[in-house]
Amino acid sequence: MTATIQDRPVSAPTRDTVDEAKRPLLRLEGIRKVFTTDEVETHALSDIHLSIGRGEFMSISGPSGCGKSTLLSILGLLDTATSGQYWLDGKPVQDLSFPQRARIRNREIGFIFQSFNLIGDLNVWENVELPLTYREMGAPERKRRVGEALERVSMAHRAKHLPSQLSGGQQQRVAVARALAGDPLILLADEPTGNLDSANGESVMDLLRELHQMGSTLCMVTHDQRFARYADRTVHLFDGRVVDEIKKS
Amino acid sequence: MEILLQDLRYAFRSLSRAKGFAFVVALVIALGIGANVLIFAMVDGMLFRPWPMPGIERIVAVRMTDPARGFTNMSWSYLNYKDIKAQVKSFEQVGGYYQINAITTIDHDPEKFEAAAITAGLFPALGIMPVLGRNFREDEEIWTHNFNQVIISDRMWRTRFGADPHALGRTVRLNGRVRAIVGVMPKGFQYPEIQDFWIPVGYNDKTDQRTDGFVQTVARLKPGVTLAQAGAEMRTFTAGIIRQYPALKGRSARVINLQEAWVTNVRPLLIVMLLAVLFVLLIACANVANLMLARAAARRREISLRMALGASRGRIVRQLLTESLLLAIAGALVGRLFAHWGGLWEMGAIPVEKPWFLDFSVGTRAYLFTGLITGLSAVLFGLAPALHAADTHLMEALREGSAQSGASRGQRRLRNGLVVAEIALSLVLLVGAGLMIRTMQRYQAEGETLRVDGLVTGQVLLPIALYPEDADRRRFFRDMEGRLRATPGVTEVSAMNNLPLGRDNNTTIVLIPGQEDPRKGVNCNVANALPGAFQTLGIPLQRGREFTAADDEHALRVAVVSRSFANRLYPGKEVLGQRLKFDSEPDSIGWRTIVGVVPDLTINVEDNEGTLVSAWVPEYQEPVQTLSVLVRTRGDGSAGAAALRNTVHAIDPDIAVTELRTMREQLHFELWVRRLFASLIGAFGAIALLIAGVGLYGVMAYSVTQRTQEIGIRMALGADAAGVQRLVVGNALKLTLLGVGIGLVIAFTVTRFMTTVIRGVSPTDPPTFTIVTVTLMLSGILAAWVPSLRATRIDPMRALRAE
Repeated sequence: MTATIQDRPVSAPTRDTVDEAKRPLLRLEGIRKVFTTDEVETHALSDIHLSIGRGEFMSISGPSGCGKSTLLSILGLLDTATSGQYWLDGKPVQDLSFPQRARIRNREIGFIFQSFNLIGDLNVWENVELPLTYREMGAPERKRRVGEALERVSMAHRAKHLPSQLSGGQQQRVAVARALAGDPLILLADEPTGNLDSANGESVMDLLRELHQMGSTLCMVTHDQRFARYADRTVHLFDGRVVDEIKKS
Repeated sequence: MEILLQDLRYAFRSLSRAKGFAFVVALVIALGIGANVLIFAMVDGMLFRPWPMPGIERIVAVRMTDPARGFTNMSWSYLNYKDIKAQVKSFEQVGGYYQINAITTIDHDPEKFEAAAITAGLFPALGIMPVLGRNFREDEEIWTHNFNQVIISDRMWRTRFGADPHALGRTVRLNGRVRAIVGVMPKGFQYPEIQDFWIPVGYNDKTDQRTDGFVQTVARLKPGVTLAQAGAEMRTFTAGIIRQYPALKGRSARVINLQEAWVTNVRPLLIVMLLAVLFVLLIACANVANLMLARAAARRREISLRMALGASRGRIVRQLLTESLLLAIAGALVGRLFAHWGGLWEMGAIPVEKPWFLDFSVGTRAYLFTGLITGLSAVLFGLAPALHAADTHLMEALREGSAQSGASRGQRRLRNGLVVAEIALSLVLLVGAGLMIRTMQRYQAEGETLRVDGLVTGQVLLPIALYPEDADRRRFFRDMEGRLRATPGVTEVSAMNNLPLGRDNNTTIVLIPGQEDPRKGVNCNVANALPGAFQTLGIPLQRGREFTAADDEHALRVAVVSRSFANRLYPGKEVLGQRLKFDSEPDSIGWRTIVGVVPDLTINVEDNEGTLVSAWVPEYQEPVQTLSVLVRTRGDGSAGAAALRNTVHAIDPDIAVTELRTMREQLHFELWVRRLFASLIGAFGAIALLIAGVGLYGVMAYSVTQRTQEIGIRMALGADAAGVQRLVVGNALKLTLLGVGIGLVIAFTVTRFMTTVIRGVSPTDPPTFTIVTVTLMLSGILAAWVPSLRATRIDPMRALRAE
């Protein structure tokens, strides 16, 4: 099944100036993450230098426990690095307060999770609308954006359904619509096909590729090489370090 | 507003998908809120709701005091009352009254009603005047001038005079005197309590003394005059009359708000009840907070997701508090229903008419209170879980498989702490309930020592108008006693004016030779008795004898005293043959000789500070107007009741026998206040125990679920079922012990303040503390038993594979 992408791009590149286009959308320098439990220190990430350009589709891969998800959670401001610097859209975000980080997550970042993470009590429409309500956006604007996002992932006809009434693939589409609705700078996808069969997995990946083609910036964690190839660039992590970087020719 | 509606919508939907959870929470909160609303209605009606009198804040009770003897609520003589009215400038109006019983024949048989003898100034001081007819005049306050008029209540006017607009002038035979109705009071007014008739006081210049005290004085402050100013002026006034009348030496005065004066008596009990229901609410909130924590742990992923999508902590807390508020509102609605049922039960348990000024209906204040405690409950049980829920490691919670991850150490501590708090508060409440129940049991046990089989009692009041002289009363009671003794089936006849374990007592200062200064005298209960009263009641004489028919007006004045009297006034001495006299009696009576000693008896079950120093005197020496007659017959006592009624009617058809009951019923009736409050606080204690038990069960069940893997490993390594059970029950016992320990410390501190509501029981009563502690420990074991059994059924292999 292939997703239908509407004419209007979600992240319109026209809003960027020429200078901004040259600047990476996201830049990490010397990022370290150390977990301390009791008296044991675990180095999850060490000296990570990384940048993602506007409109780029990057995947992060590596074996289990290599630090992929930790890196993604730092990129998504769900977690903080122990040391190092992080710029998002040219602004340092490493030392922001909890409410400031919540605000950026809400406005600049769209999340797609392996397990979809839709709220079972809310129907499809309300799930997609949820981040916009935290933005305290007016009802007409919310309605417009949710409608468009659902149209983009071909789930408008299921707007009143609850997540439990949808297949895994459909749930992930709704999760993608939720990520798109806020018109974020970047979409972060954590193993987006991990809970799907191969047909549904490919369908979701096709959807992400089409979003990328329409101008969206994507960063995806995956350990599935079939899907890593969808990205322009793949960064390999091992023991918390970047050990390889492959650009699509 | 839109956000609020959205939060409400989400909360409603979230809870509608967890109906079982919502039901349990609403039920537990309903018990807490219902108990509070029930007691608040009572407290509001008694303490806060202004009495329905215009300018009630300016109406005051003017009391004589005797600081050296600790008397703070003495009444004034009529002469002193007149001087207050004439001289004290702080008062706009001054009035006085004393309560009397009215035996009235309106239809066929004489009936007993509550009445008051009042001065002409009373109604103006209260700001309420007759709606029909007139008030009394001051010239009607004089003995013989006060014989012919009566003012009746609206209730009496409607029920007995058919709301006849021409009722003025119609006559009523009241306590033997025919009186014309001169006024009808407004609807609802029955001051001071449930009065239906008011007659003028009658000052008798031949008998009334400056030192007599029977006029309870009420005044209306002039605008702008404070209580302190009026009090100061009254003390100056009292000092002035003491200079004129040295017999009043040592007396002083105080002025308090009229409503406050009444409230002072009931406040300690109401505060205990309020604390009890507050504890129930706190226990309910702690319990629900625990449930909310468990639910928040189960919703960790959802909450993390909302935060990942940009919800601030504040927004999450608000969302969760909205759910708490919805639950609290549901609880309040059900609680309101519980309170309504509780109120119906409460009213049914009160066997007497409530004073006219008490209004227990639910008003604005009760609604505000319900709203306040509903909001407070929502915050109490919702805030900590909401804050905990909002303090989560986002990415970890969002990862696959982590949704079921266990509670953090902080959450575990909080949950355990809440259960410990529930147990501690339950212990305090149960100890309080235990002490009140033990007080009541103590009186019941005292009642069991009396000989009640086949015994009936009824009150006989001889109006002054019909029986003005001592000789008249002696004649009536002798005639009655003789006729009753001659009645077939009657085996014993006697009487007292205040029966033991009743709700009334007369106290006076007792003097003995060598200690004749009334200011240094001992306060003593004094009651009259007919011959054989102690034997009829089964009260054994410890020394000497009781009264006989020979103890009459011609004989030596005698008295029987209590053990405490003997110990207090004649310590270490032979008390028989010693002498006493009462400060309240005329000097002409002289000394009385002690002829008998009986065990200590409780005279008034509601007087917590009442003395056990008591004395009884023969009715036939100085007869009183009212006696509670005791008649014993073979069988159930119904024959005795008929014999008493018929005998009194045969002697004088105008005399009523009221409050005719078997002695067993009488003892039960007199304990109604104690029984009501002991039942209420006992019910609250039982609710608290149940909630705390369920709370402990919930924590242990949750703990077993959380520790499935650990228990599986222990079993795989060889732990047997008994060992696993010991592990679970041991943990529950640790929490219970901690709660019991903290509760005991609080209870030892708090119960010291209960001395005003318990009697004959120590605030640290060892049996009460022991029984409550053991009950809680057993409840702790019981609450952990089912989870411990479940723990023994864990399949080690499945538990290990699950991880």
